[in-house]
Amino acid sequence: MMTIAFVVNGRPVVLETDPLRRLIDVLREDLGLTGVKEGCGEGECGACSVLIDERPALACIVAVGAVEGRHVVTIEGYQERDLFRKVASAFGETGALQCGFCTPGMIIAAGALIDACPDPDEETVREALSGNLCRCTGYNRIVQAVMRASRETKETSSR
Amino acid sequence: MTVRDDAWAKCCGKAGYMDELSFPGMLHVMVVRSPFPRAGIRSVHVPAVASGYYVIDSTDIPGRNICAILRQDFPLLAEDRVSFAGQPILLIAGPERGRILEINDGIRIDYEPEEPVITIEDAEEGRIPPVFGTDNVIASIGFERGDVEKTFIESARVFEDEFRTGYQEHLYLETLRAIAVPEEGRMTVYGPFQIPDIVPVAVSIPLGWNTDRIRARVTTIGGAFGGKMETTTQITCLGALAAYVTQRPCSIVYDREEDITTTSKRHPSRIRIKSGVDQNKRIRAVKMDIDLLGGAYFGSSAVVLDSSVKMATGPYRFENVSVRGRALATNHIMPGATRGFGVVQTTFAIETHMSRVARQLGIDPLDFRLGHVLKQGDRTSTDAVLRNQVKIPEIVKSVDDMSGYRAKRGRQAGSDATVKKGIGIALYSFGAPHTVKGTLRGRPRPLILRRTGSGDVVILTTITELGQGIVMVFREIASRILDIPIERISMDNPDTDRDPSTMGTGASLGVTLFGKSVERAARKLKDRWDEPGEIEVMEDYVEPGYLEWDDKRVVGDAFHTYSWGAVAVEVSVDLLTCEVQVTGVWAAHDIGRPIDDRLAEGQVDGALVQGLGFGLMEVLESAGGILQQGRLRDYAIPTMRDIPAIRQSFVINPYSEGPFGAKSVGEIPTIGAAAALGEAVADALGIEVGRLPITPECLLDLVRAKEASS
Amino acid sequence: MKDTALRPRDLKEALILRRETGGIPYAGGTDLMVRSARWGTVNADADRPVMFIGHLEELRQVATEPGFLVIGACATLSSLRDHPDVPVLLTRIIGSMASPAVRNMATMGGNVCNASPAGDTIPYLLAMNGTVLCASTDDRKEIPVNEFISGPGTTILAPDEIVTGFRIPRYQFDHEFHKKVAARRANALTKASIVALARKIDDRLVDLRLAFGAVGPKVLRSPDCEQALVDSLPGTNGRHEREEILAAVLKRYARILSPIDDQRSTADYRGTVVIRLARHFLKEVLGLSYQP
Repeated sequence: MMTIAFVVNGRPVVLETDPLRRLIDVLREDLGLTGVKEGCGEGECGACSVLIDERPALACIVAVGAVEGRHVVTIEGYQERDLFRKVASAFGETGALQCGFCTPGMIIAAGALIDACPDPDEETVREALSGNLCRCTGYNRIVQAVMRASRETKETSSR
Repeated sequence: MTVRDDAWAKCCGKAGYMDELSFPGMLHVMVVRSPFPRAGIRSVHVPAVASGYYVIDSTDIPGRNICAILRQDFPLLAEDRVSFAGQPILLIAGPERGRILEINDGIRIDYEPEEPVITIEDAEEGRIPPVFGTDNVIASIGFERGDVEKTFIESARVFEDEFRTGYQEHLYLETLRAIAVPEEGRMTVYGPFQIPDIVPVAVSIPLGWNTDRIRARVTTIGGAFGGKMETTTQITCLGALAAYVTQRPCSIVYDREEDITTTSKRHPSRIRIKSGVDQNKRIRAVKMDIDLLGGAYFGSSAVVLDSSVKMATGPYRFENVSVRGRALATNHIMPGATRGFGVVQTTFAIETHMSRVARQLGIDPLDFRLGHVLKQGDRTSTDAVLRNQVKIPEIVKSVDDMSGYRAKRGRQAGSDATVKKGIGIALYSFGAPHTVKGTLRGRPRPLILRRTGSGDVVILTTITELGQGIVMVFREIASRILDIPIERISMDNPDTDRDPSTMGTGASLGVTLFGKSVERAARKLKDRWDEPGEIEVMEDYVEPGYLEWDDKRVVGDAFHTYSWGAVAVEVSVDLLTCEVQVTGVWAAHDIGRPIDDRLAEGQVDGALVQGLGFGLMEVLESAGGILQQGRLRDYAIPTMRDIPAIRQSFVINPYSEGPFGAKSVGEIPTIGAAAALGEAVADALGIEVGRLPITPECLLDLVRAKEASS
Repeated sequence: MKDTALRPRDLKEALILRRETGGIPYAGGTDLMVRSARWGTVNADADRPVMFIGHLEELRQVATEPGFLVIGACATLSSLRDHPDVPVLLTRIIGSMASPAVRNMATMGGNVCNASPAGDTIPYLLAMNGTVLCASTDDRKEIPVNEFISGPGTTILAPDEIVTGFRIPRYQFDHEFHKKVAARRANALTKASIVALARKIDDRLVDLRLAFGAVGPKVLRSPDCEQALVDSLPGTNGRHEREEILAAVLKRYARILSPIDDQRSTADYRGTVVIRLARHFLKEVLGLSYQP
């Protein structure tokens, strides 16, 4: 057991736990953040995407002991942001989601892309989201939604 | 177009999925499975377990040791023998996963391995003792129209081909799971059930209870594609058994490897086609032998085979046809319902065969196929009259306009010595819904529209939302008829205590058959709208009276109607590595008149990519009965980088019996992509591929053979 | 030692803890966690603790020395991909690895210490004559990468040592080629790979390096074959003669490859494809146009 202190969605968390527990289990079971989805448990599908220090990471292959002192943002925290609203609206309006199980992870990856690269071309979007699997949509409308959200973000910020 | 009502919740990951659900005192359940595909069980040694932990075997089953799928031949927990790798033998239940693992590590099972039946050839040869019955034949069905053998003798040329396709895993992102909660003499089971209606029946058998003591509640489903139909009965029965024994809420979650290696998938196939061509270069006779590789038990192979056989000849008309299909048992998991339902395999076979024949006759493959396409008034292979217009020419024109297929075909070889480009097209059709007389058999499948006192409307049904948007479609239909805003119409996840037993979602029945029930119920409700208080209208489906079926002769209307489609796929092939990259996808479909274009397009996009994955990269192979690509790092499905932007259109052709002219869309776009891919590779390399998926390994063999011969 | 982990504050403390406990270094965790996870629980090793080192700043640096680039073992793949001093070829290789989110966590130290024959950065290091920097409380070592890796999944890292980084000569090639063959274009494990480098002076081949991934127990490079090409080609004039030399050397390569069949590919495919890729590269370098 180990005392681990980190920040989740802006709030400090101190846990006495096995440092080798998967971050996804700590987030879901100890902190009730069930928006973090488990699709594969081996870092292959992206459904458990979270931000660690503002960069996308996969909670199923991170040991909680490795996030000591770091800032973790799950979809529950991310949904407070303006960018989430833009991306989520674009997903809804474009029809970029079906079963929705990949969607929170997809939105985290999309948002991180738009933050880092405000006007991505299609190839950049496909590369940035290549670790997020979706079996329902064929990706077509997800790409459209991310491009749309990035355009809208750019317009708002240049206004 | 309205934004789907679940969009925001799904973006937040809080749409009511199983993984948001928890109960006080809930136990985790682990399934102990056979590592052998075929073995006797000599003994089972279970260590002493701590209080609060349980090891459950078949003797703990209070009712019958049966997991009912279509037949009752599959034991819920193995007793003295196992017939596939991954077959459940024991359950371990307890509060902590780590402790459960320790118990698992202490269990010793002594097996006596036997030689397994692995391939279609093993199953038909009979050298190895049969797995199923006396001859491994799980199901067989066939028919003949005209005189095929006589026509072959009279033919100018006869062509023969053999095609093989592999497993395809559904790969819904949410793995299978179930929670069973015992409460006051009843059992409530929660799960992502595609067909909730079958769950109480299935659970009642091992528990030895009446079905009314079992309540199935459907949670928001994280993808299904046919993989959460019959497959959910096993996990749910196991969960219910654990809950019965422990008297605690019990949760079973299959991890990804467990899900890939122990649950159903698309049937591998071997399809042989022989065709006879006359002097005018027309096919006069076709004979198809379809063998699906089944599992160790009956499963749902018979139903899949049924569609394979009835749709085997695709969108074509042949005067003389013989189709014979078998599902053969092997010592593997039971394959089952999978999007495209047995027609993906046959479409690949018939399309590739027709194109090969055309090339050998020196005819353009597309023109050759178009020359054989069914027309209104023609009879299908099962002798059903096509009452509606067949718009394949318009569909092909639309795809050609978008893709430039005819301009590109055969002209893209180019000067690049290491990369070749090619384009291919596939034509296809899918029959849906099945007729009640043909396959569904008759029983009431009602749904209810209830207007509440406040004037809102609730749709009560066990039709399930898998992500495809059926809830939006039903609400849209009711909204149009009742002329009230869609926001005032709701439809929740099914609950078998509350909802009439409609039949769940599968086989592309939802929109055409039950959407029509919604339409009719809404009309009745509208007539009664002025009545005070709550009103309920119950409607059953109605099958058009003109549909006929003779089961014995396999003649008549197997389906209400047909959807039609074509897809063009463009590829570039790296000649050094034989890797195939998809660079363009264009598709057009006749699905009647779509209720909601955006939802329908979403179905097409997703199905096309699922079909391309099947054709291109999804390798799942058995080595001695053990599936080798059980982990997601080894079972590759397309990522966003593997697929280009998709362009598509709908050719409008309203279906008079469908709601607002709609036909089914869920499955048809899956079935042509792999065939078009094969044609594109043939265009690029001049090499014909008879096997799916078209892996670089398999293509390299063909490329080397060609290099050696030139 | 289950349920415990160590979290040193700096490299010095990490080395002391490593010596005292033999703690398993955890850098990005992307391989360790997958390897150790079972049914939702993680158990790296029953006898040894895990030691988190990914946060140690000393190990996360990228530095240039005269003639060399030094990459910290715990610099993430993403940070390397974005770093101006990291050679383009290496950034391209990194771009072919896993997915963006995994690259945000994974490190080159982890990739090399995993010692997989399919490890994507290893052929690059090997072709570049890169070395592995190891440290213990009382020693510093610099080991050529193919000596460091002793077999599939094994290294000669001593129980008291930690890999601190990699030293890569800064050396210009005229021809650089990398190809990773995998089941799909992104987020895929390597079936087979090649890194090929060549330098010419006045159209004479003076330096040639070919490193092959996933076609043997270790990433493979053959100085003999490379030298054979460098020695014999400059003196030969005829195209036919050069073709013959090339064919002979490729045959020698084919003999020393020892690929396997597994769930991702076949021995035949792996062996054939890397030779086809090598032939393509060499023909281009030697001005012999490729005939498929």
